[in-house]
Amino acid sequence: MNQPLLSVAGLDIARSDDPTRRVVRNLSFDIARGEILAVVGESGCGKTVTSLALTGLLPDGLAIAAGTLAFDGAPLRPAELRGRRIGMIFQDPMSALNPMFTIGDQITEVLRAHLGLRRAAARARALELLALVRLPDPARIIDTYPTRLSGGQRQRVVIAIAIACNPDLVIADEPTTALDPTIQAQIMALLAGLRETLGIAIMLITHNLGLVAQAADRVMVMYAGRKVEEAPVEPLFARPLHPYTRRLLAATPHPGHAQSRLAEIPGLVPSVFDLPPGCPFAPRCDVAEARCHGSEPALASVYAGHFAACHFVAP
Amino acid sequence: MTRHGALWVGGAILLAVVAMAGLAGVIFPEDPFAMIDQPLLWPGTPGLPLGTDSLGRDIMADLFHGARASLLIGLASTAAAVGIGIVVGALAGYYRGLVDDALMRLTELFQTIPPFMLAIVLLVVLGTTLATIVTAIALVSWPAVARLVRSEFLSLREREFVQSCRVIGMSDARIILQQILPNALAPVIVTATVLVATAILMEAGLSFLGLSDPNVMTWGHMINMGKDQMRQAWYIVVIPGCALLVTALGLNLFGEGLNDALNPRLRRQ
Amino acid sequence: MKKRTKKLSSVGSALSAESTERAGKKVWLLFSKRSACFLARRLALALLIVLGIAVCNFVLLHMAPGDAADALAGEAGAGDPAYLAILRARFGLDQPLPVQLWHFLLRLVTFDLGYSSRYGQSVASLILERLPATLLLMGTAMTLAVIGGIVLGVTAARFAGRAVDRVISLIVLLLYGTPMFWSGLMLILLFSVRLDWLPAGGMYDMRVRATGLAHVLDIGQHLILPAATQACFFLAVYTRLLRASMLEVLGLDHIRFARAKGMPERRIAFVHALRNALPPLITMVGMNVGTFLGGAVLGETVFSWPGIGRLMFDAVFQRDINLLLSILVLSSVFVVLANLVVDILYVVINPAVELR
Repeated sequence: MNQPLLSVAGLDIARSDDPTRRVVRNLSFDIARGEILAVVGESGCGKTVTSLALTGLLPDGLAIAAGTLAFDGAPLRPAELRGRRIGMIFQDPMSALNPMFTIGDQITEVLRAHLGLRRAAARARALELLALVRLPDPARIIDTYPTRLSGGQRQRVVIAIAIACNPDLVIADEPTTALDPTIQAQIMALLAGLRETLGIAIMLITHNLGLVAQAADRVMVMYAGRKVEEAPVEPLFARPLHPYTRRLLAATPHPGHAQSRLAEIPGLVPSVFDLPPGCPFAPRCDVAEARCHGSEPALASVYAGHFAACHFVAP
Repeated sequence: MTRHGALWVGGAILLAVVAMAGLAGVIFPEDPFAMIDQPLLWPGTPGLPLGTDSLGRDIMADLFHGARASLLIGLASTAAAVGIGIVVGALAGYYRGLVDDALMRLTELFQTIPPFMLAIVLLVVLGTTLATIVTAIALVSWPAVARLVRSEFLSLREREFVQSCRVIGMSDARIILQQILPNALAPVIVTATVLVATAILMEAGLSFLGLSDPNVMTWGHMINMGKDQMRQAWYIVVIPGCALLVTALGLNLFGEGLNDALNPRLRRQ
Repeated sequence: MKKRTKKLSSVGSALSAESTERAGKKVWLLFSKRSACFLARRLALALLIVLGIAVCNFVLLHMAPGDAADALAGEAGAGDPAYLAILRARFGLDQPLPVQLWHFLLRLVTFDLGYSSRYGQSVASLILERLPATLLLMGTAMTLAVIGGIVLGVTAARFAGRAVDRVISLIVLLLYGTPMFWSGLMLILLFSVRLDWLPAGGMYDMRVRATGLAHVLDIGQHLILPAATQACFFLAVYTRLLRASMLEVLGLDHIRFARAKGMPERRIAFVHALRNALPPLITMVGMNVGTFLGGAVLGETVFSWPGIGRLMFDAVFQRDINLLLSILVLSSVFVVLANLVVDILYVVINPAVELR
């Protein structure tokens, strides 16, 4: 059980025509069984691309240029794991389901393809799954088309499909962003509950630190294609080391004063193909000094299990 | 083949056909229906590069004169069809409401009646001359143009520059002709190019059924005349057929190339 | 609508076969208020179009040389003033035009299309007798075109920009430019004259007069070339259409999700994406029924296929205007009916459709 479920080491994702143009650089992380790892960062930081690389769904033009990926002790083979041992949940439930097929069709096809269930058995299991994700009246919903369901209901269906084959890992890419706030909380509670009852590890990709505080065990912060900080959730919130993490936390509305204004982070995320020399965050950093513009800080272990890539915290 | 390649290859083919049509009267001044040698001489006979047909006519001369008829009928009927289509489509798209309903029902009516059958009946009723053939083909080809123009007008009429013309009190006729129509023309031109190909193929089909002007040599007529000798002299049918195929191919390529050149935003890759 | 669905699913769960239940549900969908409204409007429109077709024919009849009686008489009674007088009286041709139109419509409604002395039977029965042969040929050709178009179009979209796609584009381009009657002649030249594999024309072998299965096989053999000839052009049309709509669908989120579900690529293309790309194809096929029928005149003439198209060619040859007009009317009405069927299909196949 000490072996991590998913182990990523030295992952580079780059344009397939030019491996030097990298969108993800030298990324390493592990996910343990039953663990919720949150991956946090602004859009364009490489978190979604990483998840697509893990499932072999990188868009044309991008490819894994370097790195070792292992799943359950063996080299990761996305095509064999996708849908069986790794489930995926996408951001927009409104467009994730095929409008031309019933909910039942879309669930049972996974069960029939991966578990070899017969028609009747697959349908029975689909009804179970719909109940498991707490959709009301599964017997009715199973024969309806997605257009008849609300966004929250559709995301529950997507989750049902993701967990249909009892996966070890679910990758949830912004699973609540497209939903109403009240529904967001319900969906997160559902995911956390599934981890408890089924022992599924979850890689939760989000830019919402509120969700992270609520559900995650560990957090990885990414900036410009790179990991800049990683820590268990309490130390990260109590003692953020990287200036970027501190800014992200400051930008998150606190649960107590939900109406407080979001503190914006000044400046733009630099293009991953056109990074400044030195620390990529330096141009936006309010404590940056000369050395930050000179060399890129390495990732260093500051406390046990708490890593950061910043000149100010390097031992 | 690259997109620009389509435009060039199509254009080159068209140029060749136009040249054939233009030079028909110069190179082959005599009547294409005239019997000039023994019948059924194979291509390659000295002085007769493409041989003679079952009535001893020079196939090469017929081919050149056929190019003239095909182009003439294709262009004239397309011009007429585009004219009708623009009028109907512009009125329907600009005025909407009842006018649109009435004109669209009319368009649907013409799309329901099998076009080729309607052309046949028209020609039997009107008799076959160049003018009636052009009329018949135009009468069955305009609905596609009308629909296209209508949809262009429906979207263009909501655009700001049209709205402002209305505000300053410009007349409907001027708005339609000077403001909207020029902006709607690009897709119409592309469609028209393809329509010429369709018209040429339809004319050939009508000729094949014997519905051609008896005084005009056409490629369809040549195929019709040769089909009974196919066992002994297949070249009589193959040669004009290839001419039709190459011409239609050239027009379609040209249309495709034009489409990409005129609507770069629609390019898909 | 919701209530009905609920009731249905409780009825359905009693059935063991899931597919029967689903088919039942889709038929029920037709009776939902929304669909009923849509179909009623379509029906009204169809009736309007039929009326338009009738008026069109009336106009054509009066454009014909001589008066309508000459046209109606065909070649049989031409030059026989007594017969023409009878015809004029019978069809009210001495009445004012509106009255004549009314008579004309009445005749159409009662299916009284006149009598063909050349064939010795009523025009209506003559056409109906030829209809099955045309339907067989047209149905086969359409099926070939649709299946071929689906396979080629989906394949081209899956490998867009690559060699397969280019080859398919080239085929499409060539088929687009080939005159249909000419490709028929070329097929005869190759497969009948040169190779002697398939018969050059007709619907069955007159000399053998086979029965039972042999008869069916015989017809099948005669069917191959004309069906392929008529399918070619539309194959190109459908390939192109499907490639475009597949490219659109393949970029959608739910296709990415299907990949994430671990579905094989082929299934994603031919099941997930195709189902979404199908509605425009169905619309197109519906719109092409008339063009198919027109093409039948050429196809059936080339292959001496004893259908309506061939009958029309004979009528052209004999300048039998009444027969020509009757074929035109019935073909148009057939197109209207076919379009109604397409509308119904559209509702059945497309659960998310916005009905207008």
